[in-house]
Amino acid sequence: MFWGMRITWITTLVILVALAFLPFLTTDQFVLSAMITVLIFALFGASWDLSYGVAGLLNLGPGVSFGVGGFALTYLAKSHYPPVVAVFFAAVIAASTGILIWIPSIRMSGAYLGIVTLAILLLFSDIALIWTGEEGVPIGIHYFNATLQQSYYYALILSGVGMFALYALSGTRFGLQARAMKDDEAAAKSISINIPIYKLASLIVSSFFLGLAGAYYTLYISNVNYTIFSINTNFLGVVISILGGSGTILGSIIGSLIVQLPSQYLVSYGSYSIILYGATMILVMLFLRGGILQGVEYLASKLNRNKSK
Amino acid sequence: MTKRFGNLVAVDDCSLELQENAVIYGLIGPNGSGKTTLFNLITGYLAPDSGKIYYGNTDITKKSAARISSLGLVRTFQLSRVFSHLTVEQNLEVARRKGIPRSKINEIISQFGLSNVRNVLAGGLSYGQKKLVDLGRALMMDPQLLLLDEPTAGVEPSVINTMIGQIRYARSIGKSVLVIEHNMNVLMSLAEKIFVLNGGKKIVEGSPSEISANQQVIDAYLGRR
Repeated sequence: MFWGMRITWITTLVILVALAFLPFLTTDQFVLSAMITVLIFALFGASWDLSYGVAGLLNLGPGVSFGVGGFALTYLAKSHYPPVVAVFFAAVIAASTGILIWIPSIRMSGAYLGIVTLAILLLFSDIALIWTGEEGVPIGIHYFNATLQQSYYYALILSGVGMFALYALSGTRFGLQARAMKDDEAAAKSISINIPIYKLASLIVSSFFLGLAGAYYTLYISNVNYTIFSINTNFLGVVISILGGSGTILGSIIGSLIVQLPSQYLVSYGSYSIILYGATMILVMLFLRGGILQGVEYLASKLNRNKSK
Repeated sequence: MTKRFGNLVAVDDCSLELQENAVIYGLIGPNGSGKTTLFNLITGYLAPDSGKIYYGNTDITKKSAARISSLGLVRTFQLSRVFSHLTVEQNLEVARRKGIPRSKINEIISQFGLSNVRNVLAGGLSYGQKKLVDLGRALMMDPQLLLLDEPTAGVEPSVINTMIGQIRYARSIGKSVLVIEHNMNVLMSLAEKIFVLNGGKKIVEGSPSEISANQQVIDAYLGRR
């Protein structure tokens, strides 16, 4: 295993273990609530990273799967499925949106695919608004009887397990071949990589985990409406992934801490939060194109080299 | 086969037969004669406007490029197409066919003199090293028929020697090779039978000595009609 990869998962593990102790260090409801959102959007970012950072598919509408997961959860909840079952099956339903994104990806790539997938997101937003109005669909308040601390740990487990599952997948032969496909589709075909199938598999898996994040997010806030398909929510996951380190999967936890945590505190300052993460994104793109995790890996490898001298 | 691009007939009713196993065939012709287009037709990157392609008894005319390579017909490209963000080792691993042991990767890395760049991202290699990785990756597919598109173009003599050695070795273990080459020294030393294209048509085929003495071939390279 390369030194860089080792740093990646060690850093993530350290962060998640540290976060496991957070409820013992504070009972501040705002902090715990903010961290739940950080964890959910870390999974969002990691899910998107599989399809873009690993497989090279510029899906600019990951909010579709996230939102479908949310809406599916409400209908499963109303059908009295237990929360765990409802979250899982909502993710399965969200995975089917991967097929919708896959269809344009057969013939398109890059910016063209990005535009089409963004259009699909806007379509879903409009359909949700027409179908459920501005109020959306509430889940009954007694459906998910969990304390804030319990909700926090559920988010930590879901996010941690989800991110590591995606990371493990990216390290398998499938992940390697998806990276090859991202690098050069023509060369990938010459070594028998079935491009349409790999694109489909990447998008379905990515959509599943996006749906998982969206379903748990909806479960936690007990309501879903058309704003789950909003451009802000959609691009938040993208920014988190790129800031953390595209292709690293696990970098999303760092990206989410950097982006989502301050913006939770700046919510009352409205657009200042957007200015903050826009500025952060620009700075990272200028000085650390591989994301924050690349910076961590670079520092660690320098330390390692100095140590061995 | 015939292949047109608008009014340009890139391959014009061209027919090739590679009848025997374990033979090195050459494919030559002036620039623009249709050699790479022919490769693209054979390997499924382009569909012919007319004609059929058979690999053994299997009609592969309409099969996808990925499917054709899985049948044992593996190609390289005129310009190197390594996976830049994968290491040398990963470039070979990603192509490793089922049933081929991981030790084959070590073998190729060692034989190709790539040991000291094993963990280097392929995008950072010299051009000659990239061409070696291209060839090594094709060999990891355990092909029956290897199609090499100008493997020695733009590389230094030491790399050329390594490639010649590998091509001869592939032949010795029963594989057939079809090589597009402009380097006549390389081709004449390697190929046992050569096809010559000009203007999309096959104008002659024969042994290296027959080809080098053929007036049609000489005229084609000198641009005489």
